[in-house]
Amino acid sequence: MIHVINNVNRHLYGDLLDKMFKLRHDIFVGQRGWNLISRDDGRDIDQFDTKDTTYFLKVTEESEIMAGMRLYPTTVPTQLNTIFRDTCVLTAPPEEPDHYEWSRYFVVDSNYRGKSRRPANHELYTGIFDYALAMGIKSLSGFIETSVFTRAGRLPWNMRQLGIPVEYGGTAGEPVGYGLPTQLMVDADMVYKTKLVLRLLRPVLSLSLGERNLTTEKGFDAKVVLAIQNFIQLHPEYTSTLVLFTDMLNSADPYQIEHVNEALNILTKDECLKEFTTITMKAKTVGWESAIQH
Amino acid sequence: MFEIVKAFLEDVPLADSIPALEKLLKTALDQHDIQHFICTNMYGLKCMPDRHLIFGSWGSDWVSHYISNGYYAEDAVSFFSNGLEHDGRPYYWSQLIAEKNLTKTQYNIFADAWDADLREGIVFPINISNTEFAMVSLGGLNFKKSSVLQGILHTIAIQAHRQARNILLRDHYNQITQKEVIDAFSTPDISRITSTEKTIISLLAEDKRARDIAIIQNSSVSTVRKHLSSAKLKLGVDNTEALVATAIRQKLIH
Repeated sequence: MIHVINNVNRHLYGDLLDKMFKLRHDIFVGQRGWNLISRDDGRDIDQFDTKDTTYFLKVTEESEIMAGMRLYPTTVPTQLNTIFRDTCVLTAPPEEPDHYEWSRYFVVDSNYRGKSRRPANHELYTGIFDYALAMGIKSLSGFIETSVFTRAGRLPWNMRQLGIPVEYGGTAGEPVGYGLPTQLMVDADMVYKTKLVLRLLRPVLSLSLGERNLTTEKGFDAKVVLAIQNFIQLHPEYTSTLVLFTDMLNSADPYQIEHVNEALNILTKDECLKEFTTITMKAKTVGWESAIQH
Repeated sequence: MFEIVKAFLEDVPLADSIPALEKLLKTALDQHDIQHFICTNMYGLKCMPDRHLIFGSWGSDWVSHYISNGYYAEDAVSFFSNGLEHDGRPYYWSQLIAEKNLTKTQYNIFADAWDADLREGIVFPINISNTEFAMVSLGGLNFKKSSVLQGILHTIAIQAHRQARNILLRDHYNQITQKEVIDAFSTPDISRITSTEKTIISLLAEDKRARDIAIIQNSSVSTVRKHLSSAKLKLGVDNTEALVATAIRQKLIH
């Protein structure tokens, strides 16, 4: 499942985020030789890891991170409008509230296959696009390797070049890369076709309720995930109850699963958008808290 | 400096046929002193044979000479294009001459190109996936080497190939199933290939037939064929030649 971690729920992911920063350091500094971002504490944390950052992590049933990426708003300084600004020679990078930047894409093991039998990055892309669509995000921009850009040609993506391919890096013993600034337009048609091509039509997003919730195997519609996040932002006192609720999903006890499914059945998109007023009421009536104790 | 490439990027999605795309390319490349261009499907594009030209500056003396002499079979530009640089970086023709161990015919092709006023050129490897690869080669009389021009030409090459691929898949759409169109976009799932399937593909690569493989495997012909169908599905290919070629490229067999 893909966990979406942002300023609403990051306090529930302390250990996992720290693990991700260490993993990123291992990959980007240790394996790829990006010496300029090396840190003594062995964590890759830069100016774009802030409270505004949203992380997407593919986490296995054993709570291992297999892939990840981050999204950052373009209304504040981004990689493209600071570090790589000079490379945007064809079109200026976007700086609008509904356009985000994506960066620090990594895959731990390209041969890994979960229960879905799909590669970790396929789940990651699907999760990001579903979430972006639900958030009303219209594009994802970023500086990417030229080879990645040509390989994107096989996907039904409208990916614009903001600049031409250029060499970069080469200082402080870093390798010389060859990349370009790009902008991927996101809309419902593109997301549907991408899912079709990646053969991943089922939901891949977790309810993202923290480390206790890591092994949840049930995927949710992005609007449900967003609604849960909005709900716990407004009613943090319900967070632990929702975690228990999702624990029930993984329960081996059919009695608990029956109750949780009864509550889930009312998780329609419209109801979610009403900030769970219905579900909290329904939860009381089906007695799901008592079911947990059962 | 970037006006030509900006205009090309605006116009290229509107090119609805290969000849229309070639006309656009000629206009854009002429302004950068590039007289020669070809794009070859090296392998893997479902609707076109391997090593088949996708678009080019047809009608020039050089292209006529190139085709009539069958140079495409041994040309160093295509011969070395796959695996030149993993990060998609281009190669200049002069680099190929200096760094690769060329055959006499390969040297002669470059000599003939020189005589045809193509004094330098550049090759852009276009790696679409592990199973699909194309290359674009551009050349000219007064070819200027610069990182900015290289970036501009690379942009033109990638975008022209992308549009040509879209046109070919669109034109082919009526003749193939939706599944095949999806397969054309998809990557093979090599992790799902079983050890039995690998063994059978290895035997196929040794020119064994299904009947021979069944005897070797102490199995039935229908079981061998079932394994082959399953392997083809996983690697996204539709014939045994492509199955063996893909398995070798993916390093599933040696």
